Amino acid sequence: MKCRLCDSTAIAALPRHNSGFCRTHFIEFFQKQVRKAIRKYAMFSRKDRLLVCVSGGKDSLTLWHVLNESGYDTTGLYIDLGIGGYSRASLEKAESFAEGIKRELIVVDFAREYADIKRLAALSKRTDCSTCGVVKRYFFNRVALEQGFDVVATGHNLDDEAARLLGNILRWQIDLVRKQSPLLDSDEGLVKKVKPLFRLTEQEIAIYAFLNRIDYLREECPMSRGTTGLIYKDILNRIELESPGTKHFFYFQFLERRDDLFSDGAVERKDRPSLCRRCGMPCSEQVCAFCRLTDYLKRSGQTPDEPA
Amino acid sequence: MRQHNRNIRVKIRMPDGSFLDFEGPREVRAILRRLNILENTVLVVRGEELLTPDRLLRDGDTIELIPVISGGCHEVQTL
Repeated sequence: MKCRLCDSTAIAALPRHNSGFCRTHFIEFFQKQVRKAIRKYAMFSRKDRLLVCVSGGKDSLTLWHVLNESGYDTTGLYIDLGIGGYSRASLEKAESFAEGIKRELIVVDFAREYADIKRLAALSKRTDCSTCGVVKRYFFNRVALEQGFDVVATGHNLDDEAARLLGNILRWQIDLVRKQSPLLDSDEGLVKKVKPLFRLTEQEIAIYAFLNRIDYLREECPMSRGTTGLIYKDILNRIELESPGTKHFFYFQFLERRDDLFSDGAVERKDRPSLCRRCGMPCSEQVCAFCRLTDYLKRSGQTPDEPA
Repeated sequence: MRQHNRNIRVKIRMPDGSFLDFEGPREVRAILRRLNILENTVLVVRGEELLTPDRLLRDGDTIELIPVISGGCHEVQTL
């Protein structure tokens, strides 16, 4: 296969674009997709302070790399969830990457201050991934608010978003479908959240990481094995091989048509968030999901440090 | 496909660190198919070079398969 733009041997096949690219043109393609995402959703500008949430994996470190290379003002945020050797290894990758690009990495040691995620999940009878999601979203927002960041950026990609959409539709979770977007605008107590990699697949991100020698943690979170998200990704990848472009079409057409889909009043917007009476962070009830989670620790006799 | 056969010359380093051998010449795509691995879920690397599925592997080649699918948390967007 030859590069679509020059006569070199392609290093990346992109069936959904009916293209192949050499190293140079692949990197150009990749950066263009990120620029397009940022521009279309007016995600941020070079004046904004960006908090990039990193896990040490390929998506988040690639996001930090491409934003940093593009001249944005970036700081990393890593949350140590206490998942044994996996957390130690992922923190090392995040720290080493931050050092390499000479950018600050903020580390929240959740496991030390509260509890490891497995224990918290068991106490609260939530799944590991759901518990992890509550904790991460809470600290992404809280750190951004407290330290004056304009935007929180995460490394969610096209595969993540398409799998999430499929999962939400399979369960007809219409309210979640309505909220799914590469941009969640700021609101009272909520910092704007963006997903600049939403136009790129996991494979394209892995190619960019490989070409730029980004040293990420290849090991997967041990708690993610067999989760429904991976099953949906597998199904979508099987369809994609038979019918290239389907994943792209599925998610991008949803984004194009979302306003029409929900313009008939079938799904009412929820009220604006209220503020948690304990910690002051936004929530949909009187006490936020994070404070309710940490209540389980208190009841179990393990008192966490109160949020400052 | 046989494991650790000295007479077979395309060597594959699997994501779990184990090795498999195949007879060459053979396209990357054919090997992935034999291994029941979807093309869009791995990178195929020969030395410093990324290989597209149509590339031909020859005797003496060693390739590595790097998985690209991560996460599984079907994280919902709530407050």
